[in-house]
Amino acid sequence: MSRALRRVVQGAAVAALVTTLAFFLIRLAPGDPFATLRENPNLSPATIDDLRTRFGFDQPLVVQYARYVRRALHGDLGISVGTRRPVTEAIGDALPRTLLLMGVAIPLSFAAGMALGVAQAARPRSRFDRITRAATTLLYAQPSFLLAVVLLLVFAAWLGLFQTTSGLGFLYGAGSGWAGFVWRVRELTLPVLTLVLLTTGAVARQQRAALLEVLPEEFVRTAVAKGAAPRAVLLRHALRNAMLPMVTLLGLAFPALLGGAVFVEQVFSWPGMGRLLVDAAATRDYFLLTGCVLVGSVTVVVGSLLADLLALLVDPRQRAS
Amino acid sequence: MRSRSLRPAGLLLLLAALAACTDDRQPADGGAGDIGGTLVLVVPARPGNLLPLYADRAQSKQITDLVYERLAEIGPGLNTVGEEGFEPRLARSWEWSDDSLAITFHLDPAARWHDGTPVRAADVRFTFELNMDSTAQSVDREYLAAIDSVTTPDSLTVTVWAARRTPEQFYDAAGRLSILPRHLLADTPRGQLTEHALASSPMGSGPFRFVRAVPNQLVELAADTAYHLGRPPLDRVVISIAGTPVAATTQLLAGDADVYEALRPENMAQVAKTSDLVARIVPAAQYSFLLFNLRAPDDPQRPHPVFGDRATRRALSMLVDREGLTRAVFDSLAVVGVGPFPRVLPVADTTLRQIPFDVARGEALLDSLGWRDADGDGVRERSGQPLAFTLTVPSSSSFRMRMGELLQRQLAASGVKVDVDVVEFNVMGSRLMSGHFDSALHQWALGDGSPAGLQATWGSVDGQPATQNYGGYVSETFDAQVDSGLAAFDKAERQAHFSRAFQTILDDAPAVWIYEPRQPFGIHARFQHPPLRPASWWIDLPRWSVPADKRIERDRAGLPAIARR
Repeated sequence: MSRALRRVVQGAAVAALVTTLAFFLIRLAPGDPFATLRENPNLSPATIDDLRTRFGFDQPLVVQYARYVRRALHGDLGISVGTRRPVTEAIGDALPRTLLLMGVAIPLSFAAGMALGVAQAARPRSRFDRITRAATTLLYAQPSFLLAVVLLLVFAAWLGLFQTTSGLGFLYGAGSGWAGFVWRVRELTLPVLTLVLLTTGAVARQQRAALLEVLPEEFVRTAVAKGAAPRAVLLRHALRNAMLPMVTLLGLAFPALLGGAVFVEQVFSWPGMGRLLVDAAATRDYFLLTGCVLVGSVTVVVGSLLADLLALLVDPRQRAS
Repeated sequence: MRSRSLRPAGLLLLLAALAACTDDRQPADGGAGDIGGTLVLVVPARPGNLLPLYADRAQSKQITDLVYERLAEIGPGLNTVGEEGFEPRLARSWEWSDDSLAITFHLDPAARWHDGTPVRAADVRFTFELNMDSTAQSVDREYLAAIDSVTTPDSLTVTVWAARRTPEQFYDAAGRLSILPRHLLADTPRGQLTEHALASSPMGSGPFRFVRAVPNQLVELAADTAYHLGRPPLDRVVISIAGTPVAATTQLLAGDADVYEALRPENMAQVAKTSDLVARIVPAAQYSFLLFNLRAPDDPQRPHPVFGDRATRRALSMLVDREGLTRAVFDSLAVVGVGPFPRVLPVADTTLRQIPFDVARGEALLDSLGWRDADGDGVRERSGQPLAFTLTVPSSSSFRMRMGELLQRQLAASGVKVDVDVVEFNVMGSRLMSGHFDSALHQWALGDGSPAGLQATWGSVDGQPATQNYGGYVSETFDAQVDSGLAAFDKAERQAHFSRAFQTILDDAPAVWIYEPRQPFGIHARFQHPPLRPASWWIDLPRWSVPADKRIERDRAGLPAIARR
């Protein structure tokens, strides 16, 4: 229990530190949130200065930070300069969509990666092993943006199998019910497929390596000597003991997929946290960007905590220690 | 055992999440004749605040200009002087006072807010007072300096009083402000209006009603069937927000969108090959230029070591092949610039004397000014100062990045060293404002046909460059001619002043006027529409239609329930 509490406190400290860094770095970077307004030749600097004052950007950085922390502790993450909406509202709209994307992509990529890793480990150095390892390495090496664009062009633009954007189902009688559900699944397919293809390779490699490390161990040889079927030896005895690296990888998958979602959401026009973050960074929307970083870091910390909990479930040695 | 019980729960959560993201409204049948149809406009950036007071970006105005109305709308010729070309909107008619200091507008008694409340003179007065109040921080406040007050003789009559007569007096009174619903906004403290519900769910009296917005995804508008000037033919306009320009183009080419207004030259061939699409190329109200900083970046009180000298600037201008640059980068999607204005500006003058592209003459002029390559390193120098500078270009514009490379090559051939510095758009803005740059590929876009922005972008006040005059150009002649032009009521006199102002700045060469982009639209071929305006083309969307025999599946979605009430 004390260990769990310690991890929660550590996680909170990490989130606070990352948010603080984001708060200062974005404000120290060149540019400001009113660059677009300054492109309007009819708008006077006095109006822009009024806005700076209203948002509190005329105050010293330390004062701004103190105010931000005070408000954040009360659940107020400020107002977006670009949309003038509360940041909590903007994040509240976007976060569920990214979580949906990741909630589908993470299980699928782990299921596919683990299945592939097991199949590769069952026939190490076979033609299947070599070909699939080469293919997954190739996919893993692709920049997520490039892979997303290729999938979009091939499967949506050229073959017309999927939509190039999301949210327009209501124009085709697919706004609700079963038709709406099917439409939504079609919208999700390409973004999820991109994330799965990018992640599956890494999962498969880890799973294969973990299994190959476990297979020569004595308890596996004992199971074989006792006459257990090869499939049972692999799945019931060896795989169970090769799960721990997967759990560690799951903890790392949260930040990786969150980062991947930034590009994937841009390409597939998916209105999630990734798009919000990129937009906020490009327009120097200070409060929105800091809010996105805070939520992103909390997501990563929570993912890491979940991975720790899973490790406790999977590994009796950790429970004992 | 535990994991088995989690599986269906996880599936249920997923189903619930998917269901939560769907829409529960049922579509209706499309209309008959010219009535009916859906237009999906794809945009590569999200709209900002949707209260017209704060609608400072095109994506916001595309929505507010359809949901709200002005007293009168500027015509396609973009004229802002007098009332020529203005079309009635909320105001059915108007008349001027004998001394021309007041314009009285008669509102259309049939005009209604989308909640059914009649639009009245009090709404108009409230809108002006709100925009003129500094605490409300309207982006239009600057335009209203010449307005003195607004009175309401009766509930359907509004008189806008001007503090002084100006040529754009009618535009200021009738064509700038979208009229706002007093009954929804009056009770909100003006400092808190930015967060008002109308900022995300606008409600006006215009031809289209706001239906809903899904942040960063779409905005749905529906025809107002009770619109006082007659319902627009289209049932719906859906603004689909794409993540990137590539995503927006793909959406258009795949048939998931009907209009995209920022195609790239390489996409034009694809559009031509797609039978469902037509390309429309419209002159844009923008001009782009190579801006010289006339002041030393490290000390604005001193002249720039290269660009501080007028003759050197003229010589450098002669070395730039504007025609070649424009063709190389844009093919036919831009034309060579002729001054600090786009050709669509009513006071534009294409007959001005230009600094010619003449490499031999430019090099001879540099030689005569003492800029020679004495040490044979390929770069000219004078008194130890190399003829070298940094060219700042924004990474947001691949056109300007390419142009920067070509400029670098062109000038290098004549012994001028250019270092191209590609920076983020925001960083570039920061450098321009602080004066920490040598030169930049910059661009100004105009929202209307008013030349008033010339004072801020190229003019000076008390010998100091105006706020957006980033290059620091100061010319009393230019300022005087622009001031006189802005004050002139007579069209010929106005043109003469602006032509003299433009000739002055062309001769002084504080910039090289490289190109004016043309706006390439991709539009689904089923639409019938009036000619596209060079600025704010969406103003005419209420006149777009889809013939019944050309409708596609999404045209039959019909009016959403909210618009049929």
